[in-house]
Amino acid sequence: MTDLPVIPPTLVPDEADEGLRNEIRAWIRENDPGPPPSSYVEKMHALTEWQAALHAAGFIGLSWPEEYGGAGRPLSAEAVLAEELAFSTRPQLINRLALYTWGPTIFDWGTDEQKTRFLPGMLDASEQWCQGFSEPEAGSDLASVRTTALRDGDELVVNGQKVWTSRAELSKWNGLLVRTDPDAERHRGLSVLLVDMESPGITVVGFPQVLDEPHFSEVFFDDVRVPVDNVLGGIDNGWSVAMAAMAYERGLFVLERQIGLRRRFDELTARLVADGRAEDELERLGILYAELDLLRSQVYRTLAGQISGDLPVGSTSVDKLHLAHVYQHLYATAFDLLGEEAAATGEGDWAHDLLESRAVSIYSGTSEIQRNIIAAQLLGLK
Amino acid sequence: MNAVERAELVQGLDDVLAGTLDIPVLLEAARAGGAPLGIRRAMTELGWASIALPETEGGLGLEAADLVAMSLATGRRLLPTFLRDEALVLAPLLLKSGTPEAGVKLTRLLEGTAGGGGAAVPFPGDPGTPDPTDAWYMPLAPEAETAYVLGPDRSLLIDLSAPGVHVDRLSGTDLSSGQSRVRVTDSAAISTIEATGREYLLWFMCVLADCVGSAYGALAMAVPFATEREQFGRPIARFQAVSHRLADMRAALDLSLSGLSRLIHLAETDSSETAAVLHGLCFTVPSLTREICESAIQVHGGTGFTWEYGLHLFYRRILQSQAALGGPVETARRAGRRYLDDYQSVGPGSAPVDNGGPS
Repeated sequence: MTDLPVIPPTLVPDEADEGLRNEIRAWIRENDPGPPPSSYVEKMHALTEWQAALHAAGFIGLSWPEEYGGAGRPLSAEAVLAEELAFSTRPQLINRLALYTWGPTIFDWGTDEQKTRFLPGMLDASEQWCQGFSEPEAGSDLASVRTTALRDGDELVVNGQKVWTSRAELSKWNGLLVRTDPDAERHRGLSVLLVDMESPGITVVGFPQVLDEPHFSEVFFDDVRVPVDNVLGGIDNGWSVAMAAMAYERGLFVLERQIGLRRRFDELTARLVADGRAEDELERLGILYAELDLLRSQVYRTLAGQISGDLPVGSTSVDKLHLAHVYQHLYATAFDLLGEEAAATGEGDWAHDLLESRAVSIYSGTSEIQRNIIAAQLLGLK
Repeated sequence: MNAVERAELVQGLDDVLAGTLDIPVLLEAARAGGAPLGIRRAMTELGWASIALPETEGGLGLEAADLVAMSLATGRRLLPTFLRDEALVLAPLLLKSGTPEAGVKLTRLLEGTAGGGGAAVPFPGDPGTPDPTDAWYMPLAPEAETAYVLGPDRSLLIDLSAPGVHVDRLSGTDLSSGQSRVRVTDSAAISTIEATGREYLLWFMCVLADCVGSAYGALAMAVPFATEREQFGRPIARFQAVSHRLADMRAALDLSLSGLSRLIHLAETDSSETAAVLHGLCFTVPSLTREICESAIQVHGGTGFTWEYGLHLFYRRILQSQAALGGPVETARRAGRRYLDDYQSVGPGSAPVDNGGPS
């Protein structure tokens, strides 16, 4: 450690961002179609249409290069979009995994042909994306993946199983981590493939989690043939590509979640105000507010680092760790405050969201893994 | 001043402080219940008391961000808080007062022949003016002749040598800064200074930065200790129970710094979000930095609980600062009050977004 701490950069909007903010706000006021249907399938369809409409209005891919259909603005413009979408009835972008993770990863690692092929469909949500990293025997220990992709001429033949794949049934493409050299050392011999989910040999099986909802799937690959041209970042270079993709799972991704949590926090407050209890709960409201706002500050720090390109390795683990804490604390507090009614009736989805919140300290690297990363990368502990 | 120049400035201050305030010196002062010997002279030679004054008045013309960054060093090296506040708050207030008496006191402060100290009413003060009939707890220099009480709209200067001013010297938790209770029974001892919002906000930001600096000091002791101390045949940092605790400490530090960074930007750009964000940080930063110190003591085992090791000095400093800001319960309630007021005046889902604009 150095002698002194250093105050890190924070996200600073530019003049154009404020103009954009007004533009988006006015457009949403005119075009917000109202809350999506509650049924899962209909909701997914409605959210796909919503992203397409936002794209047609010029608000998707704001930070992407113009040659790939973006607006060529700085990353701060994406933060403005996320913040303004928060005031709509449909705050989440259905294809955010593509927009926030796989699109930027393809910018960094993709060939020109891959950029031309894959990026446009991400923007209008006509081609949705999922991610195939976790396996039954490779969760936190990601480098132990067993799904293989063996070369056969100009193709790779994939066999194996992935698990916890979000929205696999909706996706056209899968960013898939596979082992291309079974004899290589663990972190070598891996590759990332961009796999067409309509390929013969792929079977998607719903994998109900604690809520018995179809968010996740198991995906089975039986002799699935993938063109070598769909390898991202080169054969046997998958570990670096996967780590780059995971780094993009912070920043805008966490900002979107922070905004979503803030909306739910406001809903909790509305309920307490309606019951005449808010004044009695100022301390708990204050703690939740402060923790949520600190998460926003941390995301702004990460976005600033992503813009300048000097984000310390491992620093986004702090974002994930605090996100998990705030997420679980908010819903636990809400459930505790609303008590028997929330438990008995499901009113407000507070019990649902408390149950769901347990996933946040597990997915995308458990909190324990985040602590390992912080200890190794930020503190230099071996 | 750009980031590199600011870092050099802060490093220069830290070098001076590190050369003067090592743990043995601080422990000796703490046991004696006073500031380390020679620290005022060292700071006077540095021109410390003038740093927040404009260049036209012999100062450095520093911006708020510079002063907040310097407070990282005051916390890191445990400069007595009255010395910190004399430079950051008292000197600008005396200059702003503009009276001949204040001018004399400012000269003596800059010469190092007199000192002071002060406190702030809770943020945001309600009413905006401190109540002169209150009693205030504040760190006061042994040679203090002026105290201040900061308010968001206007502040008070108290002539400590005037009739009707009662000063009770207390030990405090931060032993080398000390604490005093100041009561005024004759209003003639008090003068009012208008438009002190800048100093008021700056004081809160500097106290928060000071907390972060102190927590960093504790973490900077804990990490090498854990890598060197062996138990069961290996360094204790190799036990996940210890390394994860250290990781949580580092995460808490980074979160505090990120909050401070955003607050500085909002304050610099007069964002309407400044007050709400400050409210949140007045709860989170002292809480997180306090936990860092508590974990540092735990990581050190019995060593961390000894007087001689000095880890308690950082802990004491943050406990005192947390109390000065209002304490965890009260700051949480104030954050809740502020949030609820904003929520009820603007409505759900329509809270204003004001990221401060371009700086």
